[in-house]
Amino acid sequence: MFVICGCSGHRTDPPAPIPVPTATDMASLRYPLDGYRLSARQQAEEDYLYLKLERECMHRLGFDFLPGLTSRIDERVAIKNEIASRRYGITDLSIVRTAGYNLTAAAAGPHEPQSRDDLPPVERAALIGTAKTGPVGGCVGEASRELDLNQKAQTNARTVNDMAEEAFRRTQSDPRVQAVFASWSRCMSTMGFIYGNPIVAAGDPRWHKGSGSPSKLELATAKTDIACKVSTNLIGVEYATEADWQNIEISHNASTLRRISRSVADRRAELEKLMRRMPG
Amino acid sequence: MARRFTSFARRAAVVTVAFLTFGGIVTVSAAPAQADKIDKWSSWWQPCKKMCLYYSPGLKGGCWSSNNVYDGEDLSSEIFDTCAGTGTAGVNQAVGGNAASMGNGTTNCNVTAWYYPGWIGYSSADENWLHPGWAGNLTSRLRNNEYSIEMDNCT
Repeated sequence: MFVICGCSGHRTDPPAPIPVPTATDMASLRYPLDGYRLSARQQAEEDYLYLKLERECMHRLGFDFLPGLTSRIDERVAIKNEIASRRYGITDLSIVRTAGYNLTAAAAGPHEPQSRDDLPPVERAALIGTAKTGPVGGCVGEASRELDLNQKAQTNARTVNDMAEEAFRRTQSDPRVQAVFASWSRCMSTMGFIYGNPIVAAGDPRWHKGSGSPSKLELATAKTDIACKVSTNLIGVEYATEADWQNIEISHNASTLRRISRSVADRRAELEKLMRRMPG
Repeated sequence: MARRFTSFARRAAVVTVAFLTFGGIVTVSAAPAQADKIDKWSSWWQPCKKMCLYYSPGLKGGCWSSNNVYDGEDLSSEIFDTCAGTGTAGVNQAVGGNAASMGNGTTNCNVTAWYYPGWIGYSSADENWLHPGWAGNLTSRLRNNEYSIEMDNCT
């Protein structure tokens, strides 16, 4: 993944607007700032490697920690994609048909959450570093060091996120997006659903309540929500608007992003090396 | 609160699309955005077991614990409680829109907090997450603005 940018280290004229694509979901949309981050697969690999390093360390100390751990990189990528599909509200009809406004159960992962308090004391001590022997900071510390979960990487990611957040915020109040929200809202109202924008619809307190299947009302609202997004091309308009704002951020921060780009490339190389050492 | 479905139609989001702009920026291939990871301290000493939210920065003040993966989606109806050793600021106040720090006491899940109810929004702007065993302060965007949560990727 890469972004070719004609920008220099100083401010340039604002990039020309991106043409509005016709988009019915988020799967094919790529954003200008995506080039300055790890891909979904690389993020999933990083998650997996952290646990794998912990597991290897614990195994060396005589414990069968996280026995259910497999790479499941594809599943982790799928979860990230599901979350990404909700950027402008729900957009994935294959999920919405059965889950309404909810996340799928698959997003939680295949196992129940386990507390460190559930571990036998001696195993817990090895993990968190209170044992008399073993690595400094326990196997959590060792895994973090080996994966180099350092503050510099987090700071770089946050710098890019700050630019993305600024672009996203400007997108929400941009007249192009406000206009398509109004069109979407009119579309919803013709079916009797009154919401100002898709985020309000997704946060309706009537959803996400109790167990069991979503109500017929929730399913009908969610399906109409997506149908109205398609008929108004809300996703395409929001995408193009946000990409424009991201390009403006890129043009204003070119030298910072060049530095970050090198750092991200280094990180990708590190992950590749670790994945070769510890394939799933 | 239960998430309700096991079926999950996955998309292979690997389509590569290039957008050429007049400004000379070409994007080729990419991915879902990366939420803010806020790992800063070990979370092992926390008084609550799994996902924990705190009223104050630095894992202080009233706390709230999600002991079930499905708990707490509607955080506005949850209340900060007293936890041993963290202080009493914010106790009995609503959790939703009032937390400043978060901890992950699990050994096998990531935990994520969202800006909006219903796990909606742009992950780069609207999510904070933690690896197992880590804790941290919410970012300025999420501080006093967290309305949905999840323990995810439980291995």
